[in-house]
Amino acid sequence: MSDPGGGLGADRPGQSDPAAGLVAALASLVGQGLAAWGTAAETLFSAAGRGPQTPQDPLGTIADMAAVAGTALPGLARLAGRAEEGQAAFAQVADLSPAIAQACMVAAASALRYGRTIAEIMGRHQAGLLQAAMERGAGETAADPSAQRALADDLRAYLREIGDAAAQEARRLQHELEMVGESIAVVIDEATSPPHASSRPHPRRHQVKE
Amino acid sequence: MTDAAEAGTDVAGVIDALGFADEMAQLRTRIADWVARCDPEMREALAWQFASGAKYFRPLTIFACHRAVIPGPIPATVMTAALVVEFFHNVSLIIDDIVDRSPTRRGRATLHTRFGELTALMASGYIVADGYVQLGGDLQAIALFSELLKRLGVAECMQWRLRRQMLGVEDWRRIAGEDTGSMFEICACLGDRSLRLRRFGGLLGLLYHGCDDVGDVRGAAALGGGGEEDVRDGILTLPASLAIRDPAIGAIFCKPDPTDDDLATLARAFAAQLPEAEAYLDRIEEEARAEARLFAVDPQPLLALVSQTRQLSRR
Repeated sequence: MSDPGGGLGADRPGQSDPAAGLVAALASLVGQGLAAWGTAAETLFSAAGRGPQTPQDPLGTIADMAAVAGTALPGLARLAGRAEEGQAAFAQVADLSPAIAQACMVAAASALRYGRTIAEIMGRHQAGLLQAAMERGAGETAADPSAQRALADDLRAYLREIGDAAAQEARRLQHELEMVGESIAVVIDEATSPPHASSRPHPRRHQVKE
Repeated sequence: MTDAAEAGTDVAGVIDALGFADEMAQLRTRIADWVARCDPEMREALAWQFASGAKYFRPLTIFACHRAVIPGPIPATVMTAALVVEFFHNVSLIIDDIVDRSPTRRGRATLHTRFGELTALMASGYIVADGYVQLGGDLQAIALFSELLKRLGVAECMQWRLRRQMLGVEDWRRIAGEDTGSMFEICACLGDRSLRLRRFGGLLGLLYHGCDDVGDVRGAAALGGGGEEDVRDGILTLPASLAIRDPAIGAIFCKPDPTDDDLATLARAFAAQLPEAEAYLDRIEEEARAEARLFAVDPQPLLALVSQTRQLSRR
């Protein structure tokens, strides 16, 4: 298959594809995110003044991902372009642009919030982290065993909180995107249901949190 | 005031605060009806085990999690889940009491003390089996209760294997998260059925476990247990995990056969850690509140539940 994106169904002009608009927006969003990631990795390299990376090096890993992003971006752009055609056709049925904009906002806010949470966690554990780094740099260990144990607890809590923050933000993003998805479903229902339909084919099971 | 009477007062307060008086009355009726229909050979023991004095925190958690996501009356499937979770909780109490060699609970003789270990063990099997019968065709509930039983079993073994060891607060968190945490996690899932409140339930269980640990050190009778068994057996409680950072206390904590003086020293060391333990519980409470606000449609029942749970360490 020469074009792996050809199966997504956006190359039939004139026919509406309900998912195309959202796919286009999300593809664009992922592309922007990967590009930002690549830029961040380049900045990190410049700041660190590093040469070739080892596989265990986190900066090297980021660089690898940035390279992958560079490869993927043209494909994502093609995908977004094709999906735009579907989006235009779909606009004849229902205007989903507010929902798409909302999805983009939700994703962007999630990324910002995650960064802020990580910064907060680092700030909270800064004293312990700095102490551990200084002691390691000086080649010494804390003399007081009680303090050492407290430090170990603090560092373990730091690692757990970093993991918890990622998991919580992922669940929050999923939850908020589900809500956007619900609003899309409502728009579609209203636009396509018969005028006097008494019940929707897919009634919402849960209330959406305001 | 006796332990049981004090616990009874607490139950009424919690139920009133959450507004589930009718549901709790239904639950008590269903438990009584179930005991009355049990095999005559088991009936006396089961009536003893399910006699009043329970706090019903777990059924309340199910009701609160349901109400936090879906308004309106509590449906029959959720009521049955609340019944069965109370069954399974009692199974865990029976096993705990046997393992801990506890003579009393809530001011009354424990089941094995009153009827012997064989009856206590057989009663726990009987309760589990009939619990699954109660669930009927509710496959999601069956899967959740199976997960609960497995996790409780693993947690009990892990807690026992890790006793009398120099571990930290993070280790306590892991053990408590699998022990009481898993119970409340499953309660949350049984209540909301979307699994959205699973993490909230885990944090609530962790908070409950920590409050229980701290309450024991304070000598709180409201939670129905004493802390003496945990100190004697070298169980890692929250105050213990903080106190044994001191190597001298840690050495005593790890002794296989501590003397009475050792136990008194440990009790004082644990009591000295209460302010830090309370501060740690405050942080767990805040985490639970944040989860409720983020993932519940109406967080109010969950916030009330957190408030009630947090008070348990302060009595």
